[in-house]
Amino acid sequence: MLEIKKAEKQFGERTVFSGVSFSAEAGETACIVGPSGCGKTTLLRAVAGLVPLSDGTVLLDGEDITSWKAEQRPVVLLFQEALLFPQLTVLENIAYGLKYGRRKLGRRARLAESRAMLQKIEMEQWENAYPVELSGGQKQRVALARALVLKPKLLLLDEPFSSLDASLRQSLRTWVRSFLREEEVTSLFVTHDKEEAVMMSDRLIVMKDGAVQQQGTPETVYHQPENRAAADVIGDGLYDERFIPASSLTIGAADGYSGIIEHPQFMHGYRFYRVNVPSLKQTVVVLSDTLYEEGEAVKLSVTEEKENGAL
Amino acid sequence: MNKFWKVLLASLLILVFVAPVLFLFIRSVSFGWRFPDVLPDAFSLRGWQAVWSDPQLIRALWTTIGIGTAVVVLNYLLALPAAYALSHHEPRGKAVIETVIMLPIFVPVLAVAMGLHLFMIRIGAADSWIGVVLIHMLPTLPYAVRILKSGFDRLQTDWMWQGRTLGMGPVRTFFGLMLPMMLPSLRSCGILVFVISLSQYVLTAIIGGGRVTTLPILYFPFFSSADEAVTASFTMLFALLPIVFLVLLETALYTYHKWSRTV
Ligand SMILES: Nc1ncnc2c1ncn2[C@@H]1O[C@H](COP(=O)(O)OP(=O)(O)OP(=O)(O)O)[C@@H](O)[C@H]1O
Ligand SMILES: [Mg+2]
Repeated sequence: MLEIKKAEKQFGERTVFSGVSFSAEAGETACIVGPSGCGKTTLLRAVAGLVPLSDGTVLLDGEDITSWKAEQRPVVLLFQEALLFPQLTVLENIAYGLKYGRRKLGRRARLAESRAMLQKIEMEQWENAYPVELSGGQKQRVALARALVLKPKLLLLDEPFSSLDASLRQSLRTWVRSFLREEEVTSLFVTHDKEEAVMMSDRLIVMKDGAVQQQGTPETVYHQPENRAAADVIGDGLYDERFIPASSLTIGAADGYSGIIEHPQFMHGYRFYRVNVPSLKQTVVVLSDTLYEEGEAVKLSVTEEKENGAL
Repeated sequence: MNKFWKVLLASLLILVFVAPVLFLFIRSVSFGWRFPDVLPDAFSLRGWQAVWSDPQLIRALWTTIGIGTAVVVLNYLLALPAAYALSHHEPRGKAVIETVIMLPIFVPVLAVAMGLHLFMIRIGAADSWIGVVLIHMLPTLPYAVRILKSGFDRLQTDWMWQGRTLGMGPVRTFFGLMLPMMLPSLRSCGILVFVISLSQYVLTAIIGGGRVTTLPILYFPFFSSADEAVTASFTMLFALLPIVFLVLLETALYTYHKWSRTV
C-alpha cells in the first residue's frame, strides 16, 4: 500500500505542488489526472526517488521510504518513452534488471523468468527481435515486462501511451489495465487525459494548481466534481457554484445560460455541440439532435432529473 | 542518385583511395619498375625482407603500437569523465573548461611542446615513452572529448533514471547501461586517437629526444633511402597498422558488449 503525506516540491522559489496527500491500496491502480505542467511527472519521479521531495513523506507498506535511494526502492518507473536498450534483444531487455538491477538472478533463472514474462505479454515470437523492429505499443509492453519481472511493490507509469496513435492507445489501455489487475500490481498512473484516467483507475486523484483538488472512485469524481478546478479537469458539464453535468443540460430552451455554438462533434453515433458559455468562462459538450449553425446564440437549460448521468 | 553519378563516384573513390594503395603494394613487391612499363619486370619480396630484418624497425613497430594503445586508453580514462560531466552536468565555468580542452587544436602545438619539453625534463619524463604518451594527449584529447561528449549528449537523463529505477546504483548504471550504449562513440574515438598518435613526428621527436623511436621517426631515414621497394613496403606496413589496431579494438569492444548482454 502506498501513502503520500503532505508532499511538497519546490524548484528554487517556485512551488510546483504542496500538501499532496493520497493513498493507493495494494493491488489498486491509482490515477493522477491533471493539466500539463501541474507537476505529475515531478511527483512520480519523487516517488521513484529520482528527485527529492522538498517536504512530506512517502510510505510503502507502512515503511517510510522518503530518504531511500532510487535503486533501493522496490519501485519501478515507466517513462513516456519505452527506453528499451537498442543493442539488446527483447528477451535481453526483459532480463536486464535481473542481471544488473534490484532482483539479481543466475543466468538460468533469468532466462526462465524472462521467457515466462515474454509469454505473459504475448510476444513470444519476438524473443530475438531488436527494439527497432517493434511497434510503439510492443515497445511499451516490453518495457512493462522489464519492470514487472523485478516484482516491484509499486509500479509508476508516466503517460505511457501518450506517444501512441489513438487506436493503438485505446487497445493498449485495455490490455494494460487487465494485465495490471491480473498481476495484482499496485500502481500509480499519471495522465492528463480524463478519459484514460477514468478508464484506468480504481481510485482517481485530481491535481491542479499545485494541489490535490479531489480524490475518490472514478465514478464519484467524474459525476460529482467538488469544485471548479476538479470540474475543469475531469467533469463533463458546467460549474456554477455547484456542478451541473452535461447530461442534464439541454440546448434550445427559452431561458437558462446563454451560450454560443462553437462546432458540432460526433461521438458514439450521436451529435453533440461544443457550447461556449461566456458568463461562466466555460465550454461544455452537450447532446442534441437539432441542427445549429456555428456561432449561433442558444440557451442552455438545466433539467434536474437527468443529474448523475441517469438519462 | 542516378547510375552515371554512382559510377563516377565509385571511380573517384577507387582513384583516390584504392589505386595508391594498390600501386604501393605492387611497388613493394616488384623489381625494377620504370615509368613507361605497365607492369614490373619481375617480382621479389626483397623490400619486405629488408623491412622485416631490421631489428630497429621491429622494435619501433612495437613501440608505436604500445604508445598508440596507451594514448587511446589514457584518452578514454580522461575524456570519458570529462565528456560525461560536460554533457550531463553544468559544471561551473563550463564554457571556460570547454575552451581549454579545445585549445590544443587552435594554438600551434609546437610552441606548447617546446614549453612542455622543459617541464618534462624537470620531472624526468623527457626522452622517455611516458613523456611521448603524455605529449600525444595534446593533439588527441580535444577530439576524444568532442566525440564522447556528443555520444553522451544523445543519452538523455531519462536513460540513467531508467537504470536507477530498475535498481542499479550510479556506478553500475554507468558501466552496465551508459557505456554499452556508448560503444559506437568509443569506437570512433579510439580509431581517431590511434591514427592521430600514429602520425605524430615532430612531437615524438622533440619529447622523445631521439631515444623513443616510433615508426614515423624511422620513416624519414627510410624514405630517403634510394630503394623504392623498401620505402613502399615500409609505407604499406604503416598503412596496415590502423587496421591491426581496429581489429584489436573491435575485439575489446565486442567482448565488452558480450559481457553486458543479459541472457
Ligand atoms: N528540473 C526542473 N527544474 C525546474 N523546474 C522544473 C524541473 N522539472 C520540472 N520543472 C517544472 O515543474 C513543473 C511541473 O513539471 P512536470 O513535468 O512535473 O509537469 P507534468 O504535470 O508532468 O506536465 P505534462 O503533462 O506536460 O507532462 C513545470 O512547470 C516545470 O517547468
Ligand atoms: Mg509529465
